[in-house]
Amino acid sequence: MRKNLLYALCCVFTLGISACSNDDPNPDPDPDPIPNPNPNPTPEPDKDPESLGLFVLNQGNMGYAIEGSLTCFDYATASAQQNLFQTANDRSLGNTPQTAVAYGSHIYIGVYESNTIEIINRWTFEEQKQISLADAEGQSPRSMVAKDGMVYISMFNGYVSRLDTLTLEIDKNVKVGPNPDIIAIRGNYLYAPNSNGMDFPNYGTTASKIDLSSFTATTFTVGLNPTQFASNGTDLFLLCKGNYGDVASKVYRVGDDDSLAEIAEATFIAIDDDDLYYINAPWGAPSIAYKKYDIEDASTEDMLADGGVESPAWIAVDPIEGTIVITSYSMDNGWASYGTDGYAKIYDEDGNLIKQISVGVGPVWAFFNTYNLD
Amino acid sequence: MLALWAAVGFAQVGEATDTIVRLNNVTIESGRGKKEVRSTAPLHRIDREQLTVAGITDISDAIHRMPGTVLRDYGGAGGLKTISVRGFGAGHTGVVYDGVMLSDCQSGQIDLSRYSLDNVGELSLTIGDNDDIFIPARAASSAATFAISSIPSGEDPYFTAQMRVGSFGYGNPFVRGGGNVSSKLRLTGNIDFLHTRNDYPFTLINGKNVTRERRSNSMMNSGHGEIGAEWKISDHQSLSAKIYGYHNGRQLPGPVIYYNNVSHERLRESNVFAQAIYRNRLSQIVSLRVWGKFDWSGSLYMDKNGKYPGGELNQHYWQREYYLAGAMLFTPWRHWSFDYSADWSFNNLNSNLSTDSKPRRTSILQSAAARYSNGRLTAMARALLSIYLNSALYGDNPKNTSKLSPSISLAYRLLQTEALYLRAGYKNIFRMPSFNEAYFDHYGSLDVLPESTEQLNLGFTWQASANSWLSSLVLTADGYMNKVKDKIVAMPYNMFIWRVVNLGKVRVFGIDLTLNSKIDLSQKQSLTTAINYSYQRAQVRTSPESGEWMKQVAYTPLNSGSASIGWENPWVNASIHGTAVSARFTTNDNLPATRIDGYGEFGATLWRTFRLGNKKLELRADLINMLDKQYEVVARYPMPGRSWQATVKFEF
Repeated sequence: MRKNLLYALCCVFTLGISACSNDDPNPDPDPDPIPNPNPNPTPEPDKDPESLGLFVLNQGNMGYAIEGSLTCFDYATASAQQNLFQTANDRSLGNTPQTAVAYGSHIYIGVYESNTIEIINRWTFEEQKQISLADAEGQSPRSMVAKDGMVYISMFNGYVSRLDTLTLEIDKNVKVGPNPDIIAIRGNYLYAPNSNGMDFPNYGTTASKIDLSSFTATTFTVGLNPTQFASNGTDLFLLCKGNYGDVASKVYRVGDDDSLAEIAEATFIAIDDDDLYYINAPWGAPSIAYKKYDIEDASTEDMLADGGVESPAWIAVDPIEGTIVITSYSMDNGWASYGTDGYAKIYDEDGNLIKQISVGVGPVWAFFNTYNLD
Repeated sequence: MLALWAAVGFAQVGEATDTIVRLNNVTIESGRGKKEVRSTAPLHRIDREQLTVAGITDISDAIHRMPGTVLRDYGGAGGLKTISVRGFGAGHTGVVYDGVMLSDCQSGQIDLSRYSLDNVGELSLTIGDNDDIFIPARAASSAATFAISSIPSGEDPYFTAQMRVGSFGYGNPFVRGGGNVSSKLRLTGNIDFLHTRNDYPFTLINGKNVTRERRSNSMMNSGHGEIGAEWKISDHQSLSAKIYGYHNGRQLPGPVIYYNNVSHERLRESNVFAQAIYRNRLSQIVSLRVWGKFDWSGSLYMDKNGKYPGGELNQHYWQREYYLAGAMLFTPWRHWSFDYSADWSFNNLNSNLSTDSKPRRTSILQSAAARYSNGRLTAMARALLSIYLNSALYGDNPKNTSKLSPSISLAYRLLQTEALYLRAGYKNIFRMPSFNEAYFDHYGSLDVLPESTEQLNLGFTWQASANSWLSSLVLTADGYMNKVKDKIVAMPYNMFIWRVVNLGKVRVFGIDLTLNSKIDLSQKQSLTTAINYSYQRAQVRTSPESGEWMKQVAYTPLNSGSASIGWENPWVNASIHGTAVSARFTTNDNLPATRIDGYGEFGATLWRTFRLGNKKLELRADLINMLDKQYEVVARYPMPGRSWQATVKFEF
């Protein structure tokens, strides 16, 4: 029922309309939003999943008083647009947004320092609701994943919260280990890596597994400093960042019994139906490795046909188009610059560069303008 | 009058020895005045009288009245305040409190917010090395020195009680007193408390949302007390000693974060030190001074948030310093004086952090200086040999450092008949990495080298001859070129892992101008004017390929200045004053999004003193930021708007 409604909300956009197609270099300060095409859409459950583009979330930099921002890239026009949130709403997205997901008719953005969830219209970017977490059980949003009409949010104060996309309210919280980082869902279970990052240097060694039916958590042991699960719904991988010293950062395959099998040394991971994509850029390494691991036959090949980026901040793979996006800090004096705009390189599924775009400061998250994917 | 000034100039020939012997007193007491005109390096002083006449309300206000300075101010009574000079970082400014330099081995910077003006007799800023040579070697180890000196205790018994109240729940009682225990021993003491809610309002502009907010979690309580003794052992030797205690508990409001004004951060700081200065004029040609100090300080940073283990963060730091220094002054011949100074100090730091390696540093500084003064020409040259020995109880330590740093400066009286001086100076000095920069886990680096500076100064000073209506007029104009190399900067690997490196060169071109005058309008009325202007072009010169190339160093305004006029009269004395600072950027890239607007801030002060026999009652009212200008010194830390203070002081 709920699923059908979401389908309905999504399916009306069959014209290939993309908010990113507005390329006016001097946008009207109060632009006419793209009108809501149909408030009572007709269900079209048979519509194929589509992906129209991607978004990059820029966390800014608190120390330099640089606010967060949202950038999008439209596949049809191969063009980017900056500051979507500020432009549509004439207010700041806030300080240190670190996670977002496009789901149903909304984009959900978790803003870590502002301690808010911003919910905006997926096509116009106009604000629908701002949820302040100041009095909530789960606080300091760190990552998000959506499934079956729910957005799940890992909260750095030790919770995973569930946001109902119909009521736009957080309806449940479940306690997990300390400082859960980037979460993923495999089957009916949500996996949260308990990084324990605020107790540095006593990095965490556990992960929590949440049964989405009962919304209860159990804990199992993983490698040192787990920071990211990645799943395509069937396969699950875990990134453990080690200690930035003698214990290297590695990616593990998580078996159906939650056992871990080491795949490779890696510092960033992403996944689609067939492959695990990983980047290995450990501290002080002279070069960066970009690899693609075939989940089926366990073979590894180069991810990119040509060069990569200078200081990777995030990697994501479009589950429909196979488009790879790698965000990067810009370099200054040979070091990553945390105070200037970064960039993103967008590659096709074979690793050929489609375009390099400029993004905001601190591009730490990317997600896709996909729908009908659920 | 011309003749008088000429006479003063010539008098120096004979007084050279005396001047030198009194040098340390000069930094403590107001001395003979107009020393800023004769000084071989830029010297800016604000004495007790000027603090009142210029309407200065606190130490950060005072720093704005000194050219070439940049103040970092996180806002309100409890906000961290540090002083940078002429494009150098705050770690290059040494801060001297009653003759002995303060140190903070952890951060390398001194927070000036803890020092109130109630007990201050004089503030002075020396840029480079001037002709004071009879000083501890450490006093010559910074690019610039900011000195806070207590009110001299004088000869007679005294007692002062003062109460100051102000906006935002500010209350500050202060008591000081002193008296002679015997003809040779004099005791002094002072104590003060300060409470402030500090919850001042500010306007937050967020696109279409313009809201009036208040700083929250900003309360502070602090207390400070000192006991001092002056012992005149004999005609030619004396000992002065003091014990100082300070405690501060404050809430930290943090930066303004959009949509989130919850902060639970707290900071507690304690500091106790005991110091003594021994002076002995051994003979007509040899004088000795010895300084000793023990300093303990502790800080506790606390934060409450579910993201921390146990929901709380408690970071304790403790540091200690043992300091012993001696200086010998030789004045074997007319016009010539020589100084040899040697300092030994030991600093250590420990904390409750599991990554603490308990670092420690032994510093051995030796300086040899020569001074020549014939009344028309004053010149000095110094060589400072610094040896820093590093160790850590647990884990590795950086290499030891040994460096020789020269400096030279001179002042020449251009005209026999006018107090018009040309001065020039060069100083080469460095700062050691702080313990944070050397050791702090996933931030510091054991390989980091000292940050080196060079400064060249050329200036003119002129003191007009006094006449019936102009009781004083002093103009100074200095131009300078400074260089910084091996600048210590922190570079990120990710949000949690940083590393400091020696990367960065800075070149600074600047001009400092000052005008100080006092005009007598009538027998009982006078106008005192103080104006300063600074131009600082601090260019990043690290690499032409970098986006920062030739950009202005972060947080350094191109133009800044202040002006004050005080009108003293038999009725109610009045002062108006203003400070203006041009735009700054939060990063060296100077991107438009990181721009902090310039500002102008104005204040007014009224005061009057009533005398009843030997008793004195002083009333003072201050209006601060009277145009209610909303501004920031540090981005996202709004400063207080219009506010007031009222002070009642009773003295006998």
